[in-house]
Amino acid sequence: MNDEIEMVRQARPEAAPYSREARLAARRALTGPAPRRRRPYGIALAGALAVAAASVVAIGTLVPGTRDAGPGSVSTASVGGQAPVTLPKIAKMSAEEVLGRAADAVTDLHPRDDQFIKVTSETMYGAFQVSLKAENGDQVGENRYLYRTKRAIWLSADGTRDGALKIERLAPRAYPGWPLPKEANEEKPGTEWNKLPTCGRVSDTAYTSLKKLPEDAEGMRAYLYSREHGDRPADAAAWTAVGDLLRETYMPAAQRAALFKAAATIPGVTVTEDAEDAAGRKGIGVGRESAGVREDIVFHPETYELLGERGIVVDEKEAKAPLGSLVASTAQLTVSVEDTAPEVDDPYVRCG
Amino acid sequence: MSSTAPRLDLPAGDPAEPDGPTDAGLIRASLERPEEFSGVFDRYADEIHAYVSRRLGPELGQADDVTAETFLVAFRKRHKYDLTRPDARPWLYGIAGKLISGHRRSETRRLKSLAKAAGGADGPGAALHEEERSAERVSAAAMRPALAAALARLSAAERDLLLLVAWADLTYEETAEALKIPVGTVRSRLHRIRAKLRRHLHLPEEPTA
Repeated sequence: MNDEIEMVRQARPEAAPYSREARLAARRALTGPAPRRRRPYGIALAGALAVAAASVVAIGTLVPGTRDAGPGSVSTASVGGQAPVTLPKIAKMSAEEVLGRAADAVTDLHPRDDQFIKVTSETMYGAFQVSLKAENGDQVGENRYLYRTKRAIWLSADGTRDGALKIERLAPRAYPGWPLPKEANEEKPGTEWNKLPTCGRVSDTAYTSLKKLPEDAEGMRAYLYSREHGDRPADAAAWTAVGDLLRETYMPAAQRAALFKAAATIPGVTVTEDAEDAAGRKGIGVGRESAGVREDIVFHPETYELLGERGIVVDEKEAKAPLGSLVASTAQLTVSVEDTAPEVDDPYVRCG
Repeated sequence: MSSTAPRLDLPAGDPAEPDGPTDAGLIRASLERPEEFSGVFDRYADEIHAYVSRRLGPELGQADDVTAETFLVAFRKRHKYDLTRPDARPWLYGIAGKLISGHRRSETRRLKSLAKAAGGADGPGAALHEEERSAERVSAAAMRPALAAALARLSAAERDLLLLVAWADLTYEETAEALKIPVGTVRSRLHRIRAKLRRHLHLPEEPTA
């Protein structure tokens, strides 16, 4: 019968791959020892991570931790948060210039295959929750807050050894313009350790995998644009890809330089000189607007080393938060090479 | 867990199951031993994820979120599961459907952009696109965006029903179970939905039988 339903059936889109990490995280949420927690919807910058197929890093961003809060974990439960900061001023310096210098400043740690890259960072991302009416699925409410963590990740340089991820959960903050919902405090600050099993598969973000990426700007640009991006504009997705390659990874020098040069060619990328990372370090922001938020990668103003990322509202209506407010902020604190990763006893992580 | 799986106290009448316990058996066991619920996850996580990703698209990990949330909701509501129903798929699809409706805006946006993608003669790919629009490709290339647009014009409830049948391959009975409506209602609603699609797609009216 050649009817409409058959037509719809034949137009069925391809299903997106379910990354092992996301699947494990979902399963663990059911059975894990940690208090059960609704995983917040759509995480601004980190959301992109979940798309990056099978990046081991993804699991970390999604998994909560438990233990004492580190320093600086002040709960700002005030409605509406702090006074908005000023809007980023777009500098005359071109993205090409800044990223070109960043490309020149790259160094390489040259890890051996049997070693681990360790990255420590501090992160703050938006958590979004939508509540639905049970009968008809109508949206009856939305709440938001900023969740914050300190992270340390160990990733096998050649991707053949199990890694580890430590997440310290810090006190949440109010999302600018929104009250702090009670869900934000459902889980107490604390520390969680996760095992990052290789399951016989070398991660795309392992040092040796990254080393296989193009060493020239043109090739790298093609790579950035080749990634699956659904219905997002290609330029926005390419910029997201840049962040994904830098976040909690160690890009080899040649690829890193190529990446910065390629990033400078993405339309819409501009420079702001007044950016700041989650650790309060001032730097140069190179970024692009997406969904009302300017997503910056922050570089050290003199050495052009990568400091972190941040998201600042530039379109109040689209972002549903006050102009100039900070809705995402991270700092990459240390990157080092280690001989071993901590053994994590994690009975809930298994391979497929 | 595979080799040392604890024996389940199945209700009498289920003894000879070649593939292990039924879903209802797992859910029943999970009332006392919550970890048994991961067996339900293992069976259907991939299938639910595929369905959700088809409806919401691959970006921003939304399918990951909604899948995780589906099983969390199911886990919390497992006490209310009707244990006389051996197959938990309809129940899970019902929960996933509600959560997808919560993402209605993104689903509609996705459908609209699919509709736009092949319809416009703008953008650098336009020329190539026009070339492709020859001969029999027309229907494949042009119908899809039109269909996406027609889907976007359905109500969320209509889309939910239609796509459970067309994309999740549920039977009418299973769809009825998922949506908690009588199977007759599924049939009559589908009839209406088909008529709507025909209208939106400018297809000829169905000849009156």
